[in-house]
Amino acid sequence: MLNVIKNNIFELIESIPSYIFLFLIASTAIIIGIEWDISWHETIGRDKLLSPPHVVVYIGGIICGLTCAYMALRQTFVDENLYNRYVVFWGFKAPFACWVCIWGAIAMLTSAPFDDWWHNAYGLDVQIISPPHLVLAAGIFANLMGSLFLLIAEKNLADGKQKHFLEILYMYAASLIVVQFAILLTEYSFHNKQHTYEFYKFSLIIYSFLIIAFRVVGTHKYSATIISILYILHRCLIIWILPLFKAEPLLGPIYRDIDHYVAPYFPVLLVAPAIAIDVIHNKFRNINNFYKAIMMGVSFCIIFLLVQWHFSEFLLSEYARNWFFAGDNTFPYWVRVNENNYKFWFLDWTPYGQRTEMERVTFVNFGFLIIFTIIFSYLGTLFGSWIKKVKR
Amino acid sequence: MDKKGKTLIKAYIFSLFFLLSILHGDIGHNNVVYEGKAGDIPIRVFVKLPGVVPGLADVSIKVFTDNIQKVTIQPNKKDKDRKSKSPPPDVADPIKGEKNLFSAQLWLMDYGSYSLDIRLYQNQNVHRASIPVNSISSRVLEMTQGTTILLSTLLCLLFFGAINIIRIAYKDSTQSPGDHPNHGKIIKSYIVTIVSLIIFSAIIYGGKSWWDNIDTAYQNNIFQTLENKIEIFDNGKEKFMSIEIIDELWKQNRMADIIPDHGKIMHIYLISDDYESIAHLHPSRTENSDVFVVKMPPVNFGEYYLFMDVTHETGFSHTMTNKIIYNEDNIIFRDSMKGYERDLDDSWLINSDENRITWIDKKYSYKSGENIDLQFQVMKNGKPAVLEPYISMGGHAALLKKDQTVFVHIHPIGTISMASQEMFQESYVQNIVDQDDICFFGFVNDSTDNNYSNISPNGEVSFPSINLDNTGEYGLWVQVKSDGEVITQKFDFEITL
Repeated sequence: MLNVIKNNIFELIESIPSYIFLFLIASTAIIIGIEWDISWHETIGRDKLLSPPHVVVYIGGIICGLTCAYMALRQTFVDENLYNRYVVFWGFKAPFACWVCIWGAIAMLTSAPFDDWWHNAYGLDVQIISPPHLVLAAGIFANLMGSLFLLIAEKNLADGKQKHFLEILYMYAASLIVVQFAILLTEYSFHNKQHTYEFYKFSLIIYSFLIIAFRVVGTHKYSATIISILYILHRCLIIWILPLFKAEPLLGPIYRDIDHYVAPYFPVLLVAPAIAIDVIHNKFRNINNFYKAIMMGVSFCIIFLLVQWHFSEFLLSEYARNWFFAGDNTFPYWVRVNENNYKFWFLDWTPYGQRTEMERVTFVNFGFLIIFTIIFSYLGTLFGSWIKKVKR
Repeated sequence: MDKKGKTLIKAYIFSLFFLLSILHGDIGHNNVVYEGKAGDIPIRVFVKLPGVVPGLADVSIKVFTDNIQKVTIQPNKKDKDRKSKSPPPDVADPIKGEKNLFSAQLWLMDYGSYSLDIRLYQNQNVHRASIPVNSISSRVLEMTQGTTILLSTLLCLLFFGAINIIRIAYKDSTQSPGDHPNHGKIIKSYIVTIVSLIIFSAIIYGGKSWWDNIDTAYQNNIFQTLENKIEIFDNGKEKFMSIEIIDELWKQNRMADIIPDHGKIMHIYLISDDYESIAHLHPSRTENSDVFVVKMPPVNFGEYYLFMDVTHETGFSHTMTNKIIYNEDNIIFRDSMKGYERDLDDSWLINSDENRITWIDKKYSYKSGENIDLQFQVMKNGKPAVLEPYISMGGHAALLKKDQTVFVHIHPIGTISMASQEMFQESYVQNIVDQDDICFFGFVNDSTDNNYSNISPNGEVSFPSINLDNTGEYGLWVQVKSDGEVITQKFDFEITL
């Protein structure tokens, strides 16, 4: 029996073009490299061009870029029917996903000299969200989207067991994109900031768009739920594994005792609104997208707020100060130990020391947020409906 | 001072910081030079500060002895109220082909005052020295032509590449393999191209506005010395100059109080706009701790630049600047004003006719970045003068670029604030450099021959050599003391490309 299953799995894997696995390995390496790099900055601090996390990201980018360039050159100059599809880009032929990935690789390449100049001009990584980092993020996003387009196109052209297997790989690729946006939202998502309006504003707009778009593409009945679980599992594994390794700050001033890697913030519980999205999508399959977006947007907003509002209170409590939730291991070496460490924050400081007040969640601004979420849910539906059709 | 005058001064101070190039608590100079001792061992330390925070400082250490097994450097931060730990020390690598020269790069992560704790390991002994440096944003970096071309090319590639990807995404990507888009879809794909062109242009425009906002925030954060108000009073007997610190940061108590540096709470250089007169003054602090008063020196009426060196309790040292018009109209008569005694170390030069000091091997013109040796011979009555310490130092020198963008107050031990160094060094537990040793006199051979004396019988005084990047005309005023008389002499030179 085991042998039959084993043979079936191997058969299935062999039936999938190997470049798909290369794309997924590259995407995973890029995301893990970025997560490791952020923890490296928060724990060790001292950065250099060839630090281990950077190398992991570069390897991911190189695998992706070279694979695509190879595919494009072969399909253009050797055999245009090499792969079962192509689009023409400035005279070159390759599957559509390749062009997205090549664009991503160039954007990642551009971010390197830009970021280097930025450090010299304004100081080292004063913030995560900076213009060169967003160029890098755009490049990474393009690489991940490229992998997703590749899987969608393969899925659309496959059938039977192969299609189901590609659906699983698609959900994994989609979860990596959710992880990327979770990383980008780090500065807004510290446990202490999860009662502020800005946390809910950015989280609801971005996560609703992604989860709904990916649900529309998915053929599995619970694809939104599974993508959310994969995202949470990925982040949890990082939270559980990184702090197993010893590391100490090499830059000062050092305000806390750190002897192992600092963990990222605990993932937001996207699985709760994702279940609602799956249910609505399955139950109201044939109604107008706009009405469906209203239902999805409202449900997403309310469920996310209710769940995360209370969960963040738990994350700041002493019950979360353990290896599982890492509530006490998310502070970088430069954060002072004080009575505010486990309180909600409503004051923040800009990188240049100006104090800013963070808006609290009120009925009025939450009302606006529901409207925004509906709009982004609708856009997510449109985007999902389009990428679902990618066949090249 | 009238409103226009204030505006001009603000514009002047503003431009001052934007034209900076490189030396320390000084102006327009990001380098720190220290020539002194680590324990018993003479060293010369040169620190090139990054000018941004967080940034990477280049440190080179010349050790004037053999048999040093290891040199380490550790940056220590001292904040007003905070306690923090320092990272492990970095090992400075010996420079290949050079004898006893070590170098390291250090990250200075936070704003404020750092002490670079230098340790020399010699057999079983550890010799230490503390070099105070300021970690501040002090410069604006322009993009080089090469970087501009590279980034613009890549940006164009990304811009047009993204638009084309969207076009083919719409036109071709959803077509089944082998199918061709119909005419309607091809037409629509052009509309999609135009729309995406507009969207990406908006993204570029938004990105540029965001970048400009960050740049403005950064430029607002470039360290500007404390705002101050200068007034001249006459109480019917004598004239006094009052310096009041009116800066918001200071008034709100967000900056630590200031402490005396080699015995003086503030060191003022008053330099006339024709660069012919100079006064080195030391005001007294009044009951109002924001106000400092000094008796006016007997200088002529005219316009004067002021450079005021202060050191804070955190070890942070800097130079406040201002400009005054000294004439009858600007003197405020106040009979009730209390009189202040002149500091015994106040000195001045009304006309540059002094010629008792010779700058050894002086050139009129130096190349930008060239090492400028600062060795002087002082003669008196045709014989080498016997020099004695002037304000705890073998000599003082003030260097000013004649557009006021560079000002350096340098001593034989370098450009560091001794008050900062003393404050940091107090915390050393072992191998403490004796407090008397810190404040040594810096006469020739004091540091290199391990010989502290309080006189220089051969009339020689030297300062660590410096290099200047900014081209233009400079003035250098050297001050020494002999037989109780302070001798001040001016030298002119230029920096060319």
